[in-house]
Amino acid sequence: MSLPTDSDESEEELWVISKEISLPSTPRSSRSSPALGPFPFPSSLSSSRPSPRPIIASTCNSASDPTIRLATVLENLPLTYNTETKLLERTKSLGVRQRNVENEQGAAVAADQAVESPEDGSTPKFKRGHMRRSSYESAEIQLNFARRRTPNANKKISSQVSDVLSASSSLNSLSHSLGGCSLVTPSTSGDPSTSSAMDTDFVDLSREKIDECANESVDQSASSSEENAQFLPKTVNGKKQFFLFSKNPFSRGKDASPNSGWKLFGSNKNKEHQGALMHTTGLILEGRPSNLPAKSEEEAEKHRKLYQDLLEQNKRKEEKLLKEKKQASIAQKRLEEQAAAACRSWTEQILPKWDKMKDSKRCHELWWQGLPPKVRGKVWPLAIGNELGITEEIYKLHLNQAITHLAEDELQKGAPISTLHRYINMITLDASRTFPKMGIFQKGGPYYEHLLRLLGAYVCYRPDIGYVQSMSFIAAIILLQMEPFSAFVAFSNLLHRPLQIAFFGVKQLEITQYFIAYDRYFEQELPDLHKHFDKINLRPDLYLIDWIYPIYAKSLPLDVTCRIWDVYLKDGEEFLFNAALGILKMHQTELLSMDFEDALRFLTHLPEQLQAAQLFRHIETFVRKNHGGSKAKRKTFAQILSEVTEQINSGVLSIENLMNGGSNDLSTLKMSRSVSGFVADLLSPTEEQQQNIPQVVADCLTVTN
Amino acid sequence: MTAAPYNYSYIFKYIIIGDMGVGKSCLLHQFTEKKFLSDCPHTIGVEFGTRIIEVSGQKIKLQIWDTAGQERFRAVTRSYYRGAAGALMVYDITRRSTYNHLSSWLTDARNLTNPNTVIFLIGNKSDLEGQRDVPYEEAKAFADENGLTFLECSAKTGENVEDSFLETARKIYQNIMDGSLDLNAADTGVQPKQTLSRNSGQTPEKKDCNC
Repeated sequence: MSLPTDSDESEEELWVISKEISLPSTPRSSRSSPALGPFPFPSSLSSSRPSPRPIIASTCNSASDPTIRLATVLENLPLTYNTETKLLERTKSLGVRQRNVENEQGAAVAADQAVESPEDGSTPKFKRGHMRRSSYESAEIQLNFARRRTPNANKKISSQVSDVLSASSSLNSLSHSLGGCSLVTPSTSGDPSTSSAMDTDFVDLSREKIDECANESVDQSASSSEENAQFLPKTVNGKKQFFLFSKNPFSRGKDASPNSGWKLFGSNKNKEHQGALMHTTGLILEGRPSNLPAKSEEEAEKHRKLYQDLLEQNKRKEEKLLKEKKQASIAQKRLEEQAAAACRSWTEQILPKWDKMKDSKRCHELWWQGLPPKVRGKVWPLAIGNELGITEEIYKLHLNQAITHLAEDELQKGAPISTLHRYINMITLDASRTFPKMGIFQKGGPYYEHLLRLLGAYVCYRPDIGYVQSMSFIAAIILLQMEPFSAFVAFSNLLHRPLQIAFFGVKQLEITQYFIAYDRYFEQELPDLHKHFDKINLRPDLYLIDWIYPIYAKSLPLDVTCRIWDVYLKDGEEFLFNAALGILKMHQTELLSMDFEDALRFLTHLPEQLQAAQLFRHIETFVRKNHGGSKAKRKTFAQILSEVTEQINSGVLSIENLMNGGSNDLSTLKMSRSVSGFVADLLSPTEEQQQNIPQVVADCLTVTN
Repeated sequence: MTAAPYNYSYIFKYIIIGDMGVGKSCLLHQFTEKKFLSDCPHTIGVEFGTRIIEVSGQKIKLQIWDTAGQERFRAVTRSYYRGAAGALMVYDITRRSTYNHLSSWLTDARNLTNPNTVIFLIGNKSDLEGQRDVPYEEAKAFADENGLTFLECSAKTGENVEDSFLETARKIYQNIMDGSLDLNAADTGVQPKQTLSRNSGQTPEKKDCNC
């Protein structure tokens, strides 16, 4: 709502009207302080709907002219609600050009919106939003004033208000240009009055409606920084009360900086804080109760100064907050834009021409940055492929078998006879222990059945492999990305990769190759840490098994896991070992100072807040080097692995050798002491032959701190 | 012993073995953290926990290895049996199949540890009396037959959990005291604090730390 403000001549009269309140004399100063923003509503008040009433200051532009003091203050003219136009209008008797002013102020929009608010007369709730935009000093004062008085001094106030009313009515009749005062009363008596501004009818004008309008107006006029507002505290319990609203008390602060505008409170963050502040700061400007000696001029000045300081402080704080918020939102926006752009690239350029694009540089770059979650469900199956040629028929066949078995399993409790039944039992048991914190794979969760069926279909499809613990994690990750059939194809083919065949089949020789290769690679890339681990005898199997089997799903946060999968599915098993070294390198400093127990605990319970970006920077140092093709004599993991494989295949190592005491063979394979312990155990063939483990090997088996 | 406050005289290595889902990890967690972990993911490979206890006035550090239960992993997990002074063999009293597998677990434990290793039988989930599938007497008879100490526990309520771990430690300590456990495994000589060394095959897994 904008109201006309004309001259300072009315100031004197306003003084009369608002004698209860001390009025600051400079308008400009006071509005500059956002700190005032939220004014405090004591709980009693806020629950009894305090009513903010915005007034738009028209004078900001002219603010530099000290003569137009009143103008800036903006006065609250008595308003009525016109049910036909649904507008708040000045009472006719006052005859003011409300519309013009609105236009002039560019706040018309806000005002219009404001008046469109429902007029159902329902109790308007106090809206949080309005404070940050329009609350300001005068409201503060008014509120404090009112709050102090209302609860126990209704009658007194009424009479006071009556006095004021008469005063202001005469005032109004004298001059239309008067800034004015507003009188509002909570009323059940309904209709807005358009008659005399100051008579009881007016006073009775429907408060709720005004309040609503005011609220709305404030909420929607955020753009207007030159807005003025006043808040009309309401009474408790619907008792009729009169409140006097005068011009902004702060507007009197003559010495305040002329350039500060009616800055409204842009931030809603520290509302409460500000509210609390207002509470006391506003009070300081009030005069003392009549039974106490009045403030001296000096004191009043001091108080004003104090107040200004506080306002300034808060303003600065708020500006800072605002700035930070802005920066954060810009950064966020940039990220979102990047993600959206990446998503577009994937869906519009790469996916439609997959065969052509999949090896392009652009595609690889985007891939390294992590697939957009939306795209994973499409890209992963493409990256995994379907070497096994699984068709929908094959899937359905095994799925139906699985469903039958799953049902039987529930019927005949316990005593699983067949291997298949045992697998089904294990699957049921492990499903609820898969990502337990997510709560979606547990019995009753949305993915529980899907998980059972996927794993069930797989054991029916590959009874030779069956279910192996940690498969449930892999299945769960895949199910999160795609539909059951695609998931089955992806899952089966993924488990058909060499590393998975070796690990899930617990093929001792193959696993041995991986571990020896990892050991050498680790030694080559992070020699210090490798040495340390060897010294404390931290065998790689103690953490690597936990990482590799579920493809990091159990150890890393879900988003990081997915990013590792992104690259793993494209680049193959080598990446998993690079990722392992990436994790180690990322925490190298800490790990170097840890003993066996701490290091093991750390590696098997990696920090939950581990950041993908940071991790990938570390992994990159291993990956990029390999791509570089530099003449560095460093070997890639793949090269090392093939060396090891060659050695082993040439007969250096075999279960038979070990059984026959071929310890020399083992020792010719270069590996660290720590890994040899594991390898020796792994390769020991059967329980009966434990005694045959060569002494040399057995000596390596110590586990120490 | 002039042990520093944080010191301990021995490290006992324990392993926890048994079928999938019998509650091995929960027992470990209950013992080390005194909390029941209701949403514990299944163990892959091995988990690890420690706690310092006191037996006969001696501070002893228990270093507990909790293994994956699936049979498929035995090739991997048997590596963790080595040097264990105590083995907690766990079954679930509400699932007979887990009890039926005990003999194979016992075979592993006997074969992969040394003769002095104390094997303790635990029937877990004793809080689920209503779903009991294995009578106490039956398990008790099995334990007696094989020379095992036996207790029914609940990782959920904590009942008897402490006792199982402590009783195992007492037995090991007793073995040391009466000499049936050869401590001169400390062939590394007088090493400060924890030196876990084991004699090639015959010595149990104690470390003697003598500060």
